[in-house]
Amino acid sequence: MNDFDMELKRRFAELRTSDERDAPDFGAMREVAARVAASSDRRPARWLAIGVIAAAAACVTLAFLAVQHSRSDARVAEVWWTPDTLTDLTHFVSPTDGLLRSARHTIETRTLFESVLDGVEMPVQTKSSKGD
Amino acid sequence: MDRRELERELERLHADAWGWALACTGRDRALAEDALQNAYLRVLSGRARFEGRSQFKSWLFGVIRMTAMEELRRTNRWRARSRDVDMADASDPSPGADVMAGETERAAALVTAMRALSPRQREVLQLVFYHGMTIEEAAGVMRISLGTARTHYERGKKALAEQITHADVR
Repeated sequence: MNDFDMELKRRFAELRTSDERDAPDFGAMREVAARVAASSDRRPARWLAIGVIAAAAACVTLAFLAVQHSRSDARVAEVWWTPDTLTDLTHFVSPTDGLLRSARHTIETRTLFESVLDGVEMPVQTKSSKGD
Repeated sequence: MDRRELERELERLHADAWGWALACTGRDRALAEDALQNAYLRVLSGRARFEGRSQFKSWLFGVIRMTAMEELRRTNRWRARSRDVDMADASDPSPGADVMAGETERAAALVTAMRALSPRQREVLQLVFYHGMTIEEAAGVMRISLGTARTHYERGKKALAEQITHADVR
């Protein structure tokens, strides 16, 4: 340590002595800190209680919604999946089914033979005897 | 460390902690009291927990430093909102005449000279010369590397020597 370091140390020591004279009372500060710390200790318990109540409410709501949902599913099944509806479904004909049928009809080519000879009756040839 | 032990340690270091709180708040007494009170609250409520990785004093000084920085930010925001001070004062609060009144002439001269230094230079010199820490311990409190702390220490000391010599000549 050089002279300047010693000088600095002396000056800082004077400053420290001066500060110590004005230092606030430790007891009072500790009291305030302890009081606030005690009240904040109780705060987590209160938040925990609020959290538990909120979680319970959320569980009840979810359970209610789940029951409602399963009931509506059962009702849909009751309406649609009866033997009658199944039979109806097997006989179901789409409204556009006719379009498919006419299209098929259009693209079908008729055979030439059928088109020429259909409905034509061959004349029956009878033998005539000249001189009969 | 249990509550009783913590309280005993805090009481033992109270004068030191007060000096450090003053240094961290630009020697604003009201702000230093708030910072120290909140730091004690953090320690006693367990929000700041001593893990034993460093000396208790270094750890406590770290807590006080962080709390003081928060107090300064909060106060500066409030001051900026009420437009009482300009930005220069808000970023580096300086003591008023009333703060200086109680200090001896030489101590006051030291405080004035310290104001010419950068915040980190002030911190490292305060920790070493006022609180008797090593530069390594000071680096731990300031959360900087030993090399950086050493640089701030050397430059700060040089700047302080110039300031004091200049003041003595006047």
